[in-house]
Amino acid sequence: MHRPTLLATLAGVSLLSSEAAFAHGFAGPHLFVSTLIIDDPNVADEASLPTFSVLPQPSDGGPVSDLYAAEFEFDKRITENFGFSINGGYQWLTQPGMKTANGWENFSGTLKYKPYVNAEHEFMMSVGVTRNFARTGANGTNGATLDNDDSSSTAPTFYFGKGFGDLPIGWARAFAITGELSYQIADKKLKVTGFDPDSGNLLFNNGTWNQWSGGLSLQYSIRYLQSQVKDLGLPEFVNRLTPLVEVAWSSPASKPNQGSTQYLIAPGINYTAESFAVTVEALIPGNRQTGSHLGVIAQFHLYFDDLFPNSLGKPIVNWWQ
Amino acid sequence: MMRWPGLIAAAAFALASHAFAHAFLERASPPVGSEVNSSPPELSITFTEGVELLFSTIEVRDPGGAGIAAGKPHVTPGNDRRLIIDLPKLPPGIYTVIWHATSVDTHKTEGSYHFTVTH
Repeated sequence: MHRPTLLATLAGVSLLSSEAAFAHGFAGPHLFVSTLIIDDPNVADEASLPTFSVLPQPSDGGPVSDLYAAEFEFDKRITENFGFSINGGYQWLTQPGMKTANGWENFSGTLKYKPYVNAEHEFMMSVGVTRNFARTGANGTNGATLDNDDSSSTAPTFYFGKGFGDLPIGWARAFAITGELSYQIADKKLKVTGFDPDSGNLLFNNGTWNQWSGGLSLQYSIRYLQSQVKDLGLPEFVNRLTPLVEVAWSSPASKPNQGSTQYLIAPGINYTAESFAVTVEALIPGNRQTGSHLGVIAQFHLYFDDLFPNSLGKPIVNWWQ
Repeated sequence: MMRWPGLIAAAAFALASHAFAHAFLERASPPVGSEVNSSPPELSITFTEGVELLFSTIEVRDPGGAGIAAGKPHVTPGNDRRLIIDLPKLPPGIYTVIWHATSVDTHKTEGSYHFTVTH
């Protein structure tokens, strides 16, 4: 059974799973917080450890399978604005009346470069390339059930972040938007290899297909409101909160394919402390191909630049200075 | 071999003991976005972390955008989180405060806000 979920689709292009290269991404006074179902535009020394999620899978009216995942991401700067990240995770797919399928996801790695930050206009952009390494996770029956791709793929990606500090309306200046757009290119294209006369189904090779994917996050920084616009006298705990909503999307871009256009909406809240952040979001499937019921995702995020400012928290090229 | 409770306790200690990080504006006087009846004798910003005095600045601009002759920043003895500058008498108007802070672990932050003197 394939798992045609956006979670799986995006995992290969560093969009969903554990990806969150994010936080301590300042553009002037605006901080783009860590996001869970899309990656943020910043290059940093951080880790998401772990990211837990559960999402009921698409159903045609019968029993519903639930996908549980525990994932991680490690982000490391090589220079001030150039770094890499490694993503992985373990999944459990409960299947009514069947044995639970479980195993490692395929690992993926990303190289990301942040060439431009405009502090005055609170804008940041970066570009990256994500490589999804086939057969580094579960394969065979479990791998197929968990929808681990059997061939690798590469995804050039564009990221951006923009704070709304330019707006003339005071309270609206605390908003920010981040986003990404990615095109995943399969090493080995999916092809029809034959026809099964018994089932009436087409037979395919073990390739996969190209696809577009992307997403946006809309964030409202209480910290920004309090320190840049109007001190409302809120407790420090409240100042650390950032309500946000994320939207992620993916769509096949080549034929033949076994995928479908999927949408996932994730409203939630982020708490950013001195050296860590905690974020919890609901997962709302945007269509029947994405999921059948409400899910949830939560992440514990560490900032190495604060925890270990003289070692792991600074760029590798500065380790010997 | 470290058992899980020990590992969790060690991680919690590591997080708690690193109470230095980016210095965000926690409180200001006059408060961010406020209106005050008369010219305040000084302006202060309290940050969430300690700041390095030599590498932190506060600039105040008048309603026309010109910088005003404020004193050099100083801190309250024993409290490196609170940065203070002395102000000359300010005529009524909307003033802009622009600050740059370097926390004790060298992280840099910046921001700006307005306050209004009404009389």
